[in-house]
Amino acid sequence: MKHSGGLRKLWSVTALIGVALAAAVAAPHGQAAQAPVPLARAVRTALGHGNLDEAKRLVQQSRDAGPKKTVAGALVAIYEGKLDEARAALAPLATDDDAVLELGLLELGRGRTAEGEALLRRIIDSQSDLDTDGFLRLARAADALGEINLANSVFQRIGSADTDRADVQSGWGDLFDKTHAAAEAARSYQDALKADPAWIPALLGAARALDDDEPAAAAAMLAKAQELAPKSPDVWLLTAERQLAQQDFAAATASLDKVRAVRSHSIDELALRAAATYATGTPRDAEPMIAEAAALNPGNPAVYRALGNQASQLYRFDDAVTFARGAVKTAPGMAGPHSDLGTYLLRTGGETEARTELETSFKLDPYDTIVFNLLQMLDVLEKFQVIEDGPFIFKMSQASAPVLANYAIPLAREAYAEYVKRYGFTPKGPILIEIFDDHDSFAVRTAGLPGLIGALGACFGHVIAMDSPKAAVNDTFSWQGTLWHEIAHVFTLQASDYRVPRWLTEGLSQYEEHRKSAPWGRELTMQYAAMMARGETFALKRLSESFKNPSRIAMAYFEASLLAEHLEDIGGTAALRSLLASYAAGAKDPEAFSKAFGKGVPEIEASFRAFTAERYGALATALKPPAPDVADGDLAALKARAAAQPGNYISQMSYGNAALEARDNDEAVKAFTRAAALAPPAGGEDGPFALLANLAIQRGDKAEAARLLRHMLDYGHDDLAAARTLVNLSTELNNAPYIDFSLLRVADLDPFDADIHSQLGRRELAANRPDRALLEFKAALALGPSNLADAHTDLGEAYLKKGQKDDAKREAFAALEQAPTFARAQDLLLAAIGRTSGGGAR
Amino acid sequence: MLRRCGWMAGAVLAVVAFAAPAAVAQTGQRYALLVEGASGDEPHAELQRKQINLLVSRFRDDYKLDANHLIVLTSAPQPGEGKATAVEVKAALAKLTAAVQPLDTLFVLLLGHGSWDGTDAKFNLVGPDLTSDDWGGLLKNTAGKLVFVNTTAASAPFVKSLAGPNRIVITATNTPAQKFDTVFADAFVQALGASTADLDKDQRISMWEAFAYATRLVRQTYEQRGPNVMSTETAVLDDDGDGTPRQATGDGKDGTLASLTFMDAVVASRPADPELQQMVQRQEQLVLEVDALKKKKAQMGADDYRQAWETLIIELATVSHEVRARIK
Repeated sequence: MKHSGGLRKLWSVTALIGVALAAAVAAPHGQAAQAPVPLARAVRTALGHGNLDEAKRLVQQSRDAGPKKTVAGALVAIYEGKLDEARAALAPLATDDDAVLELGLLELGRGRTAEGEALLRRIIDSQSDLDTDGFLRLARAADALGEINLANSVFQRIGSADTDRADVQSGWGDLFDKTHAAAEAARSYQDALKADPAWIPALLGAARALDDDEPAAAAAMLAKAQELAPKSPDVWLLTAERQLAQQDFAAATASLDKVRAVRSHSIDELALRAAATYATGTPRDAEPMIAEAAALNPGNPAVYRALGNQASQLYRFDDAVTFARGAVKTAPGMAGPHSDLGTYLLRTGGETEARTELETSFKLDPYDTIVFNLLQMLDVLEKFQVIEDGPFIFKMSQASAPVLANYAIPLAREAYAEYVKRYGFTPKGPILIEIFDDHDSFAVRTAGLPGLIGALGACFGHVIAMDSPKAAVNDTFSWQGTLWHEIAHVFTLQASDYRVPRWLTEGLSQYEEHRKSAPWGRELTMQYAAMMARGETFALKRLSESFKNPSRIAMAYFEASLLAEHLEDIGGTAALRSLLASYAAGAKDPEAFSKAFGKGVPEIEASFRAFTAERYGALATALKPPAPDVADGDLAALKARAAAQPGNYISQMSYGNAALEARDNDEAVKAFTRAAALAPPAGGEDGPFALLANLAIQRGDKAEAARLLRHMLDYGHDDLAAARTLVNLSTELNNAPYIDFSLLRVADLDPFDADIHSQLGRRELAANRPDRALLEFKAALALGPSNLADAHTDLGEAYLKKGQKDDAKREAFAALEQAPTFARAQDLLLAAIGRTSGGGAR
Repeated sequence: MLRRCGWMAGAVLAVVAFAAPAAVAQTGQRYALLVEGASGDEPHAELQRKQINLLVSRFRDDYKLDANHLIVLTSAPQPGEGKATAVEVKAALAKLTAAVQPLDTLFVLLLGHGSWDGTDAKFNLVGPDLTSDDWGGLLKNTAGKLVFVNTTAASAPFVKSLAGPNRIVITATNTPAQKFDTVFADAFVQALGASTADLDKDQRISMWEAFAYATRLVRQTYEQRGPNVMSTETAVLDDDGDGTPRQATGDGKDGTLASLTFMDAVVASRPADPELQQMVQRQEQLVLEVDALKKKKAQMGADDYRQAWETLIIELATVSHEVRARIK
């Protein structure tokens, strides 16, 4: 059911349906091309160019006094929203096909469904000997009546023949758009623009179709439409839609005023106006627009849907659900409201009802990829283990739960207690936390589509979805950091009534990670210092917009976390609480800052600059691009530059790498050592610490290699390879603190490594921490360890240490089932049943 | 660069008297041919040298193989080693197959590179290579048990060429199309001495246990290389002679002979203390009773079986504990 580029091809073989098509085989295309352009089409073309004046002129100057002129006039009236006037003009023209079509569409648009359908049915049933305009009428009627296959068959026929007709290509694009085939739609709009580069519906359609995948191209299309048709209400509707998405509500309202200046009584305009009004006010503020739209068409859910969409974008999912319920009530037979409601319910945790709504939607519109994906995802979710714990409901796969739950639940409890204390706030629950073993399920849970590369977790207020460590797409990550981060969002979103700006909620979550574990949330220190060196940091003014730019978003998170830290430094926790409360009351940054800190935004900007300069200034200086440029292979020049610029990291690394290439390890070590001193956070396998560690291993200095790896892991907390190497090295060196540290780090990053849990458990038991040992041994056993006899005996010994003799006996028997002569298990058994005083024989 | 620093070393198993009463004693002599083939480049040469050294140490020092029973051929021979050429391989196998008697065991392990040209699978030697069928022919007249382990890429066809009665054939891959460097060699070498490979805790590692543990290590290695790294090798074992091998975690008829085959030495001396002798005999008797009870499990009620089993196991544990206390 997934849509792809194959749909066009698939549909092209759909049998032509209906009498009309059978009659149309006579191929009248050539006739139409030779005839003079009919008035209605000329007017439609002028309107398609957004040129209302030209359309009016054509009508006024027409010498035809009959129905054709009346229809053309009605088209202009419809464009201007003078719907009653148009209806009155069209109603008497029962024999004119254009009039019947437009009247039918008009009636549907006003909620007079039976009348509209009857008229459109006449178009389908009575057509014969059709020209291109006739086919186009047929396609539009079929589309409006929901006969998608018929409409597509017609477009398939005229679309491939009438490549010079922008209205045909654009109409076909609209049909693809309606069936969620964005790529196909974009192709049709491009075909339309080839036929007529000024065809506004195609420019706007392309802008919509390309918005997800090619936002820059989409923006260019809209800009072109604005340039070509600066008075077109359709252009300003889309402009307002984009402005709403950018949360520029004042601009959106101004754009909608331009729509209203040309076109009155537009439900689309009312819908967006309602969204803008709600966004800056309350749900009640949108009621007049809801009422006005209902008067125009009581069965049109557009206003409720726009409100729901806006509420969702503002993370006010409870409001979104309320609005979507209004949409469903308004138009129960339409798919969109049901899919909206299902989607929003997923974000408020109402998964059972969400499934019902999504299934209803899918029955009404089987082309909706997102709904299909969500239903598939719910199938996955249905098999998850559900664990209720205090304010939390956890859902995780049956495979992961036996291990992950033991770590995730205590961590979530700890985070909750910490945040309640810090933010002085108890969030609305239950807090649903879903942890997915495959990234695409997480992506669908979050955005309806697979992909979402780069995201690891998402919070919708009291619903959290996140990747499990098994879902890592490219590299390892700290799932614990992600969980800590997302739970912070629950508090900051709810405490601010979902009005906290994104930079602050993300900044606080990232900063909370750092507070919990120093390297968490600070993975991009080197990149940030390099940005500072280039003078490219954002500061508060550009921070919000940087979150909307995919190329900047990672660094925006980083800087936001620094800003959050600075805000707490200068105002304490009370100031953070005050900020959230101010946003909840509707304040903007200046007012909220003034109340929290007694300072204006510019003063805080200045102190923040000083804060970052103090923390990263030296590192930024070391990361400045060196001069002069030297070729990679020019060892002598690289050496000279490194000597001349001992404080420049890049010079030292370039020379070190060249020396390494030349097999001069001593020189490489000197250069990398200087680089390491200049940039302590420089991690990664190409960084100075990793290279120095490799060189230390090569010369047999394992202690030095271990020291370097230990340092790396202080900064690069998610470097699983370095952690595993440190486990091996520290075990060889019998360096107990390093063994404990590295085992814990590996278990944090890869909790599904049974042997690591066994090793950790044994160390915990040796350190007389049987509770922690139990946790590790249980994890090892759940994961299928290398040696079951060992694993059961380990667990039994931990039980014995805690005095749980029956449990110890059970585990001893389990071990002896595998290996009846296993001495350690035998001794455990004897101790558990009181035959000896000791534990195992290890 | 720091992605992997080798396997975590497992403790070498000690060969302990009395502690493994259930182990099947091998009454014949043990022979081994270890071949480290052409390495190709310096990194492979270093890795292969490390592996062959470990392997030689295992057979010579831990398994106590008679020096005359162990032949080592390498790409860059050190003292006591021969050159890994086809001529030397043929000579070594001629010598060993002539020496091996029906109750003896011959262990052959190949380290290095393998290839598949669409017709023949070859183990790459210094100079001309030998095909799987060549190896089959050279070992055709082995009178005793044969353990043949090819740890190289594209080694799958060696199963068909070598399989037969009283033979255990292990290959790193299950199809000749698996042509990438394997990690199975490293894993198998480690498995022969890893205490965690000893699944039944009898203080010995059977060929099945080594194969199963090495398979697990291979899987872990690929998992640890990253979520998008797909394993390019699947090790298999055949020991029923039909040439249809099985994987360690899959279904299959193979495994019995390999579970009963060991390359280590069992010190089978008896204690001088008569009381201890009696205790050891009782210990051995109890192990046999546990084994016998297991075989009757299907015919018994679950509760009856459990009760009988627990009684035996507790007695075995008690006697074994006393034996250990005495030996100390």
